[in-house]
Amino acid sequence: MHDDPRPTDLQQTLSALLDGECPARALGPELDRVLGDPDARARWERYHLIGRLMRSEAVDLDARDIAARVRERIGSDLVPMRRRTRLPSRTWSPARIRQVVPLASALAASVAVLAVVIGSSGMPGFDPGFEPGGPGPLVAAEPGEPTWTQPQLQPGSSAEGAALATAEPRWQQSDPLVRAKLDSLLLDHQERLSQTGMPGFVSYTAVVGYESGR
Amino acid sequence: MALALLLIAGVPAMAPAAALAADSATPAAAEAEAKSAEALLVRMNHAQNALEYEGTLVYLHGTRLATLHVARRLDDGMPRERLLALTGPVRALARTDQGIACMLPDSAPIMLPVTEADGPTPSAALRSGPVDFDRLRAYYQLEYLGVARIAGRDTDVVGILPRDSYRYGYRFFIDRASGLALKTDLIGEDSLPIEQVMFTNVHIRNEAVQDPGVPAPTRRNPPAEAGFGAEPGAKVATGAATDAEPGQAAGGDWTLTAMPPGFRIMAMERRDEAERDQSGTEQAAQDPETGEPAIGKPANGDRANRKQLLGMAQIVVGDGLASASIYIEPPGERGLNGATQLGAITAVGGPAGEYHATVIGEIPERSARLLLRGLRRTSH
Repeated sequence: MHDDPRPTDLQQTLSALLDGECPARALGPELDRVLGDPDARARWERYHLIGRLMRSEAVDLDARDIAARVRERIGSDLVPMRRRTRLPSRTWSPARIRQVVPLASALAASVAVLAVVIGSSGMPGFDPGFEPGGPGPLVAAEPGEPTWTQPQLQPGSSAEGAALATAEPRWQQSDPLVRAKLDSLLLDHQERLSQTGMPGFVSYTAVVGYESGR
Repeated sequence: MALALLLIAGVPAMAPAAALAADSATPAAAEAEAKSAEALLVRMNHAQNALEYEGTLVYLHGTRLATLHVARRLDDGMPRERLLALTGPVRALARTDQGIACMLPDSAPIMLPVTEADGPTPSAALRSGPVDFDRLRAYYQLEYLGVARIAGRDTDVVGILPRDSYRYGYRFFIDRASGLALKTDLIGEDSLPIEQVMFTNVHIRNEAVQDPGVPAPTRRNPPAEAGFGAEPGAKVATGAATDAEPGQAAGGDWTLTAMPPGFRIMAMERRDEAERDQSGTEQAAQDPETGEPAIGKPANGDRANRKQLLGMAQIVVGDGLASASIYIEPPGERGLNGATQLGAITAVGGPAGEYHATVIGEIPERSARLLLRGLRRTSH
């Protein structure tokens, strides 16, 4: 488990990408970096998983074959947690807040996954500063850094469920395994034919351009 | 967004094909236009492999509109392509001759690395010959439709319109300067576009068009052997490409007893143990020169995507333009049951005897269902 609470460049990059914080001119190089780095791709998946859990969306851990990997790697993603401390009396500029939000997202994600995984598996050896279900909100307090309050994870809460009910899943399939399989089959098929069909690389546009739930 | 919609509405894609082809009043004129259309398509086919470009695309399907950034580079002649969604959640795809990496929201990263077991893939065989226009004309009407302006550039518009409802058609807006398709309409029945992809701006780095007879090189298909110059009928990795018609045995364990008119089996493949061994590599592969993790190489955490395809049989069918793959997997695997779509991509799944089959491709649902119904096992 890491003692250094500072996010790595990779974590910052992923958080910025997921939060839409990455400057447009840097998107290409950053994506090349993420797509070309197996560790980055694995983190991407974890962060998205974390996002789903934060939104109380159903996640079939076994189907995604990721539960074990989450358990293995969760320590490396965790930012140490501490009890709430007083907010430093600082004025935060929008730019400064933008710098911090990705860290908070990653932090929230880590907490959410830890809560879920520990709750379901009783994983030992977690950071003693974290007490799932303990009283009071948890905060990340680094010296000189702002604190962030974690929203209470309420799996299956009706409000979030109602919001998600309107979202149409990709391929209109509720089973994440089926969705993933169809995506893989489609890409495999396109790759077999991409250089033969008239549309060329543009034939991949639907794969990336199609946005679920819109 | 408003600008994009105006641009889409303003180009002649929405106009009836007959109005745009009004000049072809005589058979001779129609033939001349068809030849012109063929020449433009050959040039376009070459340009999309030879050019380096970067720009912004809009993707429109029904009421869904997305903006994407596209970039294509040639690195020592080897293509590197990238698509990035600029609207909504981050979705990205990178493609090299080593494989595909795709990041989608709420999904595991999809990696389809090229393995040694792939060898010369079915696509290598498929792209080895020139476009068979005689075959296309039996099921499509090829027309030169006129001119249009896309992304501030002049284009020639070519239509490949289907003669029946078993396939979609295309309208290509081909850049006069470079040959690149700046807009592509997928055409359904009634000649109406059901999906449109259009550049709103594009920067083409190497506009000087090369001789279409010169193939675009890839690592798996070196210049001397691949591309348009290669001999037709090159062998595929497993199973031979055939011209089997419906009712004929196609080799292997499976055949198709029914296919849409004009479709034939183009390749058959089985994901075998050799591929399993390679995709089971535990360590991330590295670029031999830089030592950096290489896009498209199997790595820890990426195995699931490749693994999903292992043990499957694949039949690729097409009519020379439209195509679909039929994936057959052993019983017990979770798969699609029924029909669904992703944009204009249709997927239909269901039982095939004791196995499960999924048909996927840019074809109408009726064609996909016909293929699924026609699937038969030839050995037990």
